[in-house]
Amino acid sequence: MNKTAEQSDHFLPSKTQPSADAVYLDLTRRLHFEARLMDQLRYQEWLELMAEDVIYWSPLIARKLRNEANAPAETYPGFIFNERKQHLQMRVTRLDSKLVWCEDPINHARHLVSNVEVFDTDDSDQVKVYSAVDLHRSRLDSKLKRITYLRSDLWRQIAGQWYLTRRRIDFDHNGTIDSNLNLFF
Amino acid sequence: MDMRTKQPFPADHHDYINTNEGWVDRRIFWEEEIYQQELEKIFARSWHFIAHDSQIPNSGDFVTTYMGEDGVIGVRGKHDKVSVFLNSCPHRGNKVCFADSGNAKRFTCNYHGWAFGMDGALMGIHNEHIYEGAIDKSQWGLRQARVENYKGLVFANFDSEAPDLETWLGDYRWYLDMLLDNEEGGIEFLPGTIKSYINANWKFGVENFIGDSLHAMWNHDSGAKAMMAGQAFPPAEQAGSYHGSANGHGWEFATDSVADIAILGQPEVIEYYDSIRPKMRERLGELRAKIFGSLASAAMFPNISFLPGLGTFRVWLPRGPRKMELRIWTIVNKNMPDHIKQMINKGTMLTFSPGGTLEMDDGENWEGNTQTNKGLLTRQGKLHYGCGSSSRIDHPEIPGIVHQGQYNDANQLAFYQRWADLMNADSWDDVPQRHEPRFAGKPTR
Repeated sequence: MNKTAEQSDHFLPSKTQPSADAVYLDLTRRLHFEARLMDQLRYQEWLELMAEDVIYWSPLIARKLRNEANAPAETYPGFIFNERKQHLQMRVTRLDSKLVWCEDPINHARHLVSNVEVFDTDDSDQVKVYSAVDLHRSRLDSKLKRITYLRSDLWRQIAGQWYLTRRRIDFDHNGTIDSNLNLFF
Repeated sequence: MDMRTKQPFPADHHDYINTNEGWVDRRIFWEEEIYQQELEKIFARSWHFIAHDSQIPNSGDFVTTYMGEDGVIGVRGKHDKVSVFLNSCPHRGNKVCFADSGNAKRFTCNYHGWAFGMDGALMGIHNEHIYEGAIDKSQWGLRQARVENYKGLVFANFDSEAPDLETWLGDYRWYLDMLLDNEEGGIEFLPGTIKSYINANWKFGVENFIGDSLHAMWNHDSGAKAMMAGQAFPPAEQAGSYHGSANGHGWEFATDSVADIAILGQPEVIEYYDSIRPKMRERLGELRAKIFGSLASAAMFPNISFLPGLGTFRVWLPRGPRKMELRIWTIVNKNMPDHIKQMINKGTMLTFSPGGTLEMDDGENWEGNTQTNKGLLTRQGKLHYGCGSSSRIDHPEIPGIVHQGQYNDANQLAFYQRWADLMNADSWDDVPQRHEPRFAGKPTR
């Protein structure tokens, strides 16, 4: 099957012009703020950082032989997440319902956001933002899980504030190393 | 309760399971010694799912997977012949393929450059002249499994004495046809495999799908309410629902046609199935057309599971007694329009992936089920499997061992009974037939 529109290569910068320092600082602050909201389980506030047309998705990866793979991890039309705002809202509703037994007691998570790069785009209100995340998750019985991934984002400026409009999440793991992905990335 | 510090392992594996009293011994989910016997008596003798035809359509297309802990390659070679062989070089033992899937002309070992063909035969050796003829290459190919196909599903088995696939499936083909043959053209697997690792015994995944509809209302309450505007999982009617089991394979189901399909949250998919339902009735009969798509779950012995209508298909690969690797695919009918296939893909990922709103509730339970047995006194206990203990019925149409009511432990116990039957048996003649087959030697559609 063909790739759907939202899975096109939006994450590749059409320009490679780094954004002005002020924009870089703005976005770095935004990413750190977003990480803190996620880690403090302030999901409804986190959702307010999402643009109305946000697409939040994560492609499936597979280990392919080099001569068959265009990139180290070839992407497929398949995905783990492929969410619009209403799906994210549904997930937030679920997590806030106090009915998710495996999140009670709370599993602590820490999103360490690094390797931030910000690029201008053809649209003066939008920037492309790469960031690498080292996610630590402390589960029941002191189980420690560590998940790393690249995020390729588009952030849009509306009335002086930045909102996430696209996020592609590329996990560095060929298989999910936790029994669930009960959080946001 | 027996409080001896060390309980002896019973010689008869039926002592681990009591179908009359309805309990299972916890040690089968923990002990390394029992696990090693499972690898020998169950995994080395069972028919294993390798791939669907649609995943390896062309010559040279391959997948790598496991049969028990044995790594294997499944590949479509010349003349459309699918071979399955061990993924280990007979020179020093390294894997000959590290990719998940792809297309190859040969598999070459990284260590010394031994190269194997699509049929697993040793084709050549790097600098072979050094051997000065000291190897007969025809004797050093990769070990071959038997390969058979049921309606597109490729299975393999290393046991030359095992019954053929049709006998292994037996009357379960009557059930399986609802998944594989509900529409002209059959099914296909969408590209991509999701893998995840769960620190749980493999049998907990299987038994959840083979019969545990009971957990849904409680365990999946959060997901159900979030997805269905605050409504809880609708309770099933015991009157119109069943557990059906044959040769350890099982399917628990209602007869309302749409509940599992509705969980996808894609109204157009319901409309699609409604549109093909008249033809489905012609293909499978009135009853099976009502079963397909209902609130249901199913598993095949030893470690395959699926949700018919919802489109998730998976295997639980054992990684020791206390860990498993879960591999998940989305299945669709081949003749569906593309946008319906995409909707099903979206729906299965939203619900039954490691990030799925329903799947995420399950893994940690199975980890807890397994890891608590580290406690010596804990694992001396039994687990209760007595739900529906007096619900067995004879049904004029439904084959196999049939129980009334989908809230039931019947299929789970039948799975563990098959487990004990194989664990006990030294030869296939020792494996008892637990029900009178209705379709022996006959097609089920």
